[in-house]
Amino acid sequence: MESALATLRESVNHRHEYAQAWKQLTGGKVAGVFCIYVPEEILHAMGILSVRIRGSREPEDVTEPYITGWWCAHCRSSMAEVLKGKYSYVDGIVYAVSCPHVYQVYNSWSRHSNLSYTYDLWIPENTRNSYALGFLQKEFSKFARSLEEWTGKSLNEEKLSQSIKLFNLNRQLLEQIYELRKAAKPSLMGSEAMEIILAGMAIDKGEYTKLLQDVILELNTRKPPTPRARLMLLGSENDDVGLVKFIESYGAVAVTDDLCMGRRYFAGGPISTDRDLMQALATRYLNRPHCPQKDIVERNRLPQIYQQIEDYRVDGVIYLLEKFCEPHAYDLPKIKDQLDKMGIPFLILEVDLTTPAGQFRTRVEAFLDLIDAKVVL
Amino acid sequence: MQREIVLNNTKYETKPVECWAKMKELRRWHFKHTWEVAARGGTVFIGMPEGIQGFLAGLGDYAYPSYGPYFTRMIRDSQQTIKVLEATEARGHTRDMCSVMKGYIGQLYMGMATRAPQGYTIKPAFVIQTLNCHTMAQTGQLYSEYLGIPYLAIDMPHKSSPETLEYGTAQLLEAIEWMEKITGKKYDDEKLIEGVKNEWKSARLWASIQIMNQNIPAPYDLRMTWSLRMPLISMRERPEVVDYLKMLYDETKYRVNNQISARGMETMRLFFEGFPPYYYIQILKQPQEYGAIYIINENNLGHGLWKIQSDGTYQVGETLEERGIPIRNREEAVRAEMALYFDRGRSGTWYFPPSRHIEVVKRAKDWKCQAGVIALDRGCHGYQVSIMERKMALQEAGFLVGTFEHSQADPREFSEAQTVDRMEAFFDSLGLKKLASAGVENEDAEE
Repeated sequence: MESALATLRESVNHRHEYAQAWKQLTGGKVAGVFCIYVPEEILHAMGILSVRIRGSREPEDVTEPYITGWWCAHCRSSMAEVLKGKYSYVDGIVYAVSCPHVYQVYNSWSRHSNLSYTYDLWIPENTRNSYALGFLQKEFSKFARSLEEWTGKSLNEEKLSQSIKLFNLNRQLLEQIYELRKAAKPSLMGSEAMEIILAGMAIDKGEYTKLLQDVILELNTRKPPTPRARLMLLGSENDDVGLVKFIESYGAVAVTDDLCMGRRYFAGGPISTDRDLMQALATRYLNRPHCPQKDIVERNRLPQIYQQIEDYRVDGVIYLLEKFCEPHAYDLPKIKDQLDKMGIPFLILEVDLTTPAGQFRTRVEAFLDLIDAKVVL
Repeated sequence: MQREIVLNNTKYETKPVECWAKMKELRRWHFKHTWEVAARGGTVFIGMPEGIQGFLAGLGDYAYPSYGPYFTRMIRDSQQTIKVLEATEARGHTRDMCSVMKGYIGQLYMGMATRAPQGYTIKPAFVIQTLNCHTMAQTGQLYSEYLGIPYLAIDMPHKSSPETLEYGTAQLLEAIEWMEKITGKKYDDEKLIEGVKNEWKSARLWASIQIMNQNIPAPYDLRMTWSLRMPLISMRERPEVVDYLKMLYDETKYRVNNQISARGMETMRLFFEGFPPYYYIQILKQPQEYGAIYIINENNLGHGLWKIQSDGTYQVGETLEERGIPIRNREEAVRAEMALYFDRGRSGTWYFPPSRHIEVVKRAKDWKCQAGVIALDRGCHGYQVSIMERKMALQEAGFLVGTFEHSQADPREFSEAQTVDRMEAFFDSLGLKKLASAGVENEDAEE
């Protein structure tokens, strides 16, 4: 019998086929979502499968008429998948306002396709301002109404409450999986953790939850070795499982992260279902671990990164910095200063569509040597 | 299908712009004003609160030198600019960040952002930023943390709706109390009301001036309006700027009525989309060698008050009275300010409007352009949104479009020889011929 982890991996590697099969089986609609700020709970409650729009991380030569070459690799690669027709099963797209790069993909796709639904949703940038909650609550309600118009179905409280509870369970299971990574001998590689998260962005949440429960059982039977070094990965929309495997191939294990396709996707605790549900959802999306662009005025991202370094006993931090990703570039000096104070080695790998394997190998090896020496001393 | 190109070989009268000296006087005043206000104990803050300048007028005796007063001085000296950019990179920021913001941040790290020409340093009371640009939003945060001063970040949605109007209004009203607490000074509602009215008038006057540039011959080219707008950017809420724009409006009307052209010829009217390289602003004058002119630019128009129609037509926006917006108290003034913010052109709502590719074509038609250039700017990410879509739309509408790459405030990312050569090849392809006088600088006091 195939393991749950292998099933999740399969669904990542064949995510387009999965969505097509789901659509055929259920007759439901598929919504492509940009950014982790789209309230997927509402889509789920409407019977819509939400799939995260992302690329294949392969070299491409089709996006230049739509996007300039200095747009981030995630966006160019996502757009390439769109142009190649890989997302032909997608019925509508939803963009939660984040960075202009992602917006460009949404904008070009909207303009050059026959999608029956497009929606851009404003998520406050200063998430801590006094009026953000009330505003976002209304925005979510408007979003729900537009989905009702699109699907011809109505959204009731009960359905939304059930979806929120399912997502709560789902996030709780992911927390448990991340908790296992705190062990001296972590039973999960960082590349596997990324695959687990990516699967959650591609498949039905009910099915996903069941698989997560099985994954936990499987992980508890593993007998892993002590890693050479415990790493934390930072970055944005990095979904390059191959790159994480490459880093871990030198004996280190990525034990935690602050990535869109990582902890930032699920962390932040459960959503209350005892109050107005739109308000509860808005509360979660305003208080979740933020990306640098939404971490304005009072930061929550950086303290959480530093806390994770303590909690997961991290030996070194690698920043998988998407080339041209400005929001992350802003925070670099601040993070580096703090890590220096904490005595944590720090490596920046500037990533694009292609990985300079030779150069990265030298840098990762040197970085791990540095950590080895630090451990010995 | 490509549009037919017809060259206009008519020669028109031209003369220097009389308001030019006034514009320069206001710019000098703006620079000095920061230090004068600081010296007499007024409120000096820092940031780029674009689109809410009228709101700031309630602070009374105040000044804000953007993110530092020396950007223009820096950008005129490429070697100095590179030093500043390298200071930013030495701290760990990447090369591909917005070069304008890096130009400011480097000055912050070098101690220049708050240093008076006399040598002493001031401490701004706070940072204020409208969050219509993520890069500015994070710059505000960086300044706030680096200088140890509080940060007022106003969240600005990109769409106009009753909800966004209420949201913006509520934040500004709260911000008044916040500023009173931080500065210990009473906010003046009368000055707020005057500031908002002035800002509204300034924006509307700018739109009215720009619309007259649809005339053949155009009274100004883009190089002229690029500088003439400067007081509008930095202090549109002040009565002196309203007076200046009224003068400019009258002068524009005179030039139109008397067929006084920008440069004496306009063999071809060209659009220029995107930002020019600030350290090589003379690129905006290159068409003159062919008797042609650049005439229009989205950002330049965006400082005006427009009512943009669904077909992309720019119409001058209505006055407060025409809109039926009363301003009798603080709340009404703040609400009017937000209405202006959302109604303004593309500078206010920044980069998200999905209709930019429609507007760019209509602009090119309405300002009677026959072709144009798109500057592909690696510096500003926001303004680059949909730039390729705009290019595609222009080409679909039959316009020939030339492009070049640069970074607006990073001279290292620009090749003068290559760009000039590329543009010459483009102008040649349009059928333009260099004038016998090409290369002779037209000295009309531009800077």
